[in-house]
Amino acid sequence: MKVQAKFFASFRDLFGGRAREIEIPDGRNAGDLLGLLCDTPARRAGLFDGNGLKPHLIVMINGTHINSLAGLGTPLAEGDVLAVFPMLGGG
Amino acid sequence: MSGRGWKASDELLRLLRAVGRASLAYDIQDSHSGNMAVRWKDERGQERIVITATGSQKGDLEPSQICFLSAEGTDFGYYKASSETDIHARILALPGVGASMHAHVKELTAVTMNDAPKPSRPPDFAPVDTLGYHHLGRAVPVDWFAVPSGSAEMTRTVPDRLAARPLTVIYGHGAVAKGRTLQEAFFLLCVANNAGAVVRSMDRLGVDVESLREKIRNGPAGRFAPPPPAYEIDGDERCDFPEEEEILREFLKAGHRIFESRLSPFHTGSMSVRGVDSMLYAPKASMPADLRGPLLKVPLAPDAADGPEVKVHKAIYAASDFQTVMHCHIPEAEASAHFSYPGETGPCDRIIPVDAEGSFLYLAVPVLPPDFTPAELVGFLHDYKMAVVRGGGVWAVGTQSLSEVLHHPSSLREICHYRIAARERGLDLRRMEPAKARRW
Amino acid sequence: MKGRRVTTSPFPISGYHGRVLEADLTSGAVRVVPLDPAQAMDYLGGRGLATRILYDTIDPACDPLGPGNAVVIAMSPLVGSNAPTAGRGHMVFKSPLTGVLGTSNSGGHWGAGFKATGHDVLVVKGAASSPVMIDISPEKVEILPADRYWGLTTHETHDQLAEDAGPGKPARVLCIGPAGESLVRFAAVANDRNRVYGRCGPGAVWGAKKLKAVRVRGREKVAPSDPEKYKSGLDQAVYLLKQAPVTKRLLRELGTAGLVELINLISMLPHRNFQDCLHRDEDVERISGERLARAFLEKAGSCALCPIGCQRHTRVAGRDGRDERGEGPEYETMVLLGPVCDVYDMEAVTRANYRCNEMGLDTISFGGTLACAMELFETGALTAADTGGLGLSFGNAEALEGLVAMTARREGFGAELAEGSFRLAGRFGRPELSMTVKRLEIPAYDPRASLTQALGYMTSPSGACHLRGGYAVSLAFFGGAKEIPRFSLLQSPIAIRNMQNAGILQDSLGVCRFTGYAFSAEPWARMAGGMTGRDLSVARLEEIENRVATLERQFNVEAGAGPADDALPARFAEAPITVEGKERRVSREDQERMRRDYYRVRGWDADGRPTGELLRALRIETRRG
Ligand code: SF4
Repeated sequence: MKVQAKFFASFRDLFGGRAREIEIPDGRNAGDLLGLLCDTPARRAGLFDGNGLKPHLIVMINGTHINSLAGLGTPLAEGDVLAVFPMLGGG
Repeated sequence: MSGRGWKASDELLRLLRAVGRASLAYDIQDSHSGNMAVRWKDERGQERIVITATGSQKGDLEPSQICFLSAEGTDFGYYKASSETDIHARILALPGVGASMHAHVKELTAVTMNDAPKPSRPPDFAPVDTLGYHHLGRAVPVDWFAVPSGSAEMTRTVPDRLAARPLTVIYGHGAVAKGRTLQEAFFLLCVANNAGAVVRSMDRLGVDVESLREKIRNGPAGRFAPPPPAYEIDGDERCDFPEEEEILREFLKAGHRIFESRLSPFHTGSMSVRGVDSMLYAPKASMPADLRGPLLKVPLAPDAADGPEVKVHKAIYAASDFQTVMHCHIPEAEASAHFSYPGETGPCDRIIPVDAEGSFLYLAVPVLPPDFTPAELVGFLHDYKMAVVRGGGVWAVGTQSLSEVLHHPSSLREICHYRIAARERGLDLRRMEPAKARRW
Repeated sequence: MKGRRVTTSPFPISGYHGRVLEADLTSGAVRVVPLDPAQAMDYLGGRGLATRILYDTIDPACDPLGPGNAVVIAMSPLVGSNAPTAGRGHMVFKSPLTGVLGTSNSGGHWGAGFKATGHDVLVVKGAASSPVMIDISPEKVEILPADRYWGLTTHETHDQLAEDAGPGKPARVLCIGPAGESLVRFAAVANDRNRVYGRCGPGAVWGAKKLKAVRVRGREKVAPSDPEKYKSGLDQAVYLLKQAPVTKRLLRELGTAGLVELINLISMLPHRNFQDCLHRDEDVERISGERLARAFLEKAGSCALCPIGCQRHTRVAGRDGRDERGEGPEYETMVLLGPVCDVYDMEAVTRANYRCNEMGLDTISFGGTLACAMELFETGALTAADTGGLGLSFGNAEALEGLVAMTARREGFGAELAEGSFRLAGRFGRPELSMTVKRLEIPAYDPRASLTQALGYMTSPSGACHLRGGYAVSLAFFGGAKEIPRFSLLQSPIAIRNMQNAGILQDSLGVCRFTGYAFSAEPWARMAGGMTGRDLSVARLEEIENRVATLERQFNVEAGAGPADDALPARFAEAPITVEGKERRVSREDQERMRRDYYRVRGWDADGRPTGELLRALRIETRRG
């Protein structure tokens, strides 16, 4: 299936672009996709802390925070958009 | 007679798997140890004993590893079930018992070992924490067996022990508990392991456990906060607020975290989110995945029927603007609340972090005596967001959400971990603590 | 018109000078009134103290543009210390835009500068007959003619007045621009050129008083009564600001506009006068903080004592091709002047932002009013005949800059825009097209995407303001540990009350909202307690927060506001947006329930009036006894 990954703020530099479309086998989840994207130690260090996500990261699937879904285990479907943000502030 | 061909129903399989996984997550089994047995009615209405097979991997039970025996039988010969089949069958024959479980409760096992020449009868284990004292009783027997696994001696002794009490210890091996449900037996094992963890943490801190036991023997009333609620077996599936989907999810997430991070033993502690005139209340805060507890909606107004636990939640809300409250039993924190500094009399009145993150987040965590008043507690919660009641667990509050309040006990466990480790290594805690923390 | 230094006996509480400076522009009299210590402890400072003094000074039913209105600016006991971000002042008045309490906060250096003159509070009453300015130093306070500054932009006024002050410690200038002078109902007051007291139209109140500027200069200091306690709070605060990624670097890197992409992704980014939250990705990218940082940012900047540094000092090509420098845009400005007007042209938004700063206009209300005009225009309620030939369709980025100047000077159709969207929409027969609560334009978060935010807008004392009403977005997404449900009717009232109270505390301590990303009340309690040497425990602070919230409500009740004013425009109840695949509205029933619950949480009666019992419990004296 085809899914899209989008990067914001500093993650654009880390992943060399704003978005990437990737073909992954069916049945993969958010953690699998992020693992695939982190193909260098620097990228891995940017997103992961051990096997979990770094604390100050926002990962959303189609606009929903993965903490409100099944976390890294959230299954992906064709056409899903996964977004990676640093935690932001403002107002 | 064997019930071959009868397969575990989905519900039963789910239950055994959930408890199996949870017992591993709580670290009271090795990958293949322990076993569980329950009375269960099959589809023909015939009562059966269901038992997990010897050596099955409790983290991933397969249907083929669940065995069925007729409830009437007493001699099962060699059937692929647990080597402790006989013991379980006898326990299940006790009045009112619906389940039994054996687990390698390491913390408790460790603190009940001694170096006296065997054979001998080891002393009973006397819990010093409120959960252990109230749920297990003031003395838990410990039996030494020459063959501590499936022996005839054990088959006789263990069910006898359990006739009069909920849980018994097998020296150097683990514990066996009975329950009306499997959840209750598991609950007791977790509480027992926790009671062991409290004593072991006290040992490491240099707390004089024997004199504490002595004091408890002489006057338990002054040593513990009001007793925790008795274990309820009904209503675990109850949810009074299905429409509040997001809050529901927060409860389950926080519950999993409490259990998995050992912030409170299975189905102990409590947590709530306050609405305008009611609160959403989880009376069994520590909830692993697939083993929820009830999620209730309770009026905020005081009610004569309120137990001590609910009362504290309501009192906190009545005297503050907090939106969330959490109560849990962290063994390291309970032990730390009994710590006294060398050369000082009486236990400390605050836990002062010595680690970097802890000391900036919390200059100090206050410790209240067991007979605290809710007003005192609320005062401390305002200034510190969290307080430890000696003999009564940890209370914490949040202004917005459950995930916010969860952070406090979770930090406290780390704070205590470092203090205990420092003390164990012979370091001088006073020298490590920021001087100003003694004042705040 | 001269007031000489009045010696008052030393004030018993550290952190305060104990002096309220009162200038009556009608009579030209200046006097120093001693601060009441009990009042200082009950209302703390900043927003709380200012509101108390305003309530005691004016009739809430007065004409906001008449001499009966007053402007009160108060500092906190922490202003003048080295507590992080503690340089902020808070200004209150009756708002000419909303008719209820006007309450606005600003960073910059003026607050600390004023405190250094040896005063805690400035009260300006009455009205002058010709332009004046107030010049304040520890030695003397003067009301001086300001005719030669009248008509100047905020930047020109600032620069000239600072220069005219001569050598020595730099003077800090707070002033209005042309918009305030021409009584634009959402005119701002500025200091440090680009730091503004933006919302609710304080500039118009100044303009009506013919007050062009207040210049301050001094060296008076405050020192903590219990330095050890103060320092323990300070250490903790500084450490945590360096720990939390938002305060450590993200605000500095991206500014608040870094939110654009995120808010879009959570379906909360408003579009076309709040008709929907739908944008094309490539459009959003064009107005993102990432693009701002890449293409326009020269450097980040900071207010006094701020380690966070969210200010955007930017450069953009002017319309004549020459580069212009200025500040902004912030997230709110980017969205209100941008997608809410269906504009995705960052250069145009930035230039319009510069003009708003110079003219002294609140960008949120200006953008909201313009979007309302655009919708009126597209529906035909407004025609080219009304606009003087201007085609005011959505997306008209070209028109932005020119309209700022027209509005600020009330030229042509600008005179209609100067009234704000509520009056504009009413005048052209489509009141439902004004996206306001209590006549204040809604900021850049669609309330349908979070019930808690919706309730915050409904119950904010000043109308739809995310800073007074509570900022639910951070609870849901950025606070990390604080994530709360977005659509919970049960949790919203208390969550938003607590968030509003956290804001009251920050505003009353003179500290920045953004510190809230690193820590909440406890370090402040230690710093404020250490500074004053008084019991300012978190529980005491909580009581102060509730007292201030209820006094603000009492002011509004006496100004004539009721439950009907605590409601969202019909659009949000009727037209759904799609969030996470579900249609979301804030139905009238949901509004009713949340409003009722919120009143109860606050201890107000069913009509939102503070009960006598509550007023007594909180020791709030009112006119009605
Ligand atoms: S974070 Fe921004 S607004 Fe707040 S004090 Fe710092 S520079 Fe000023």
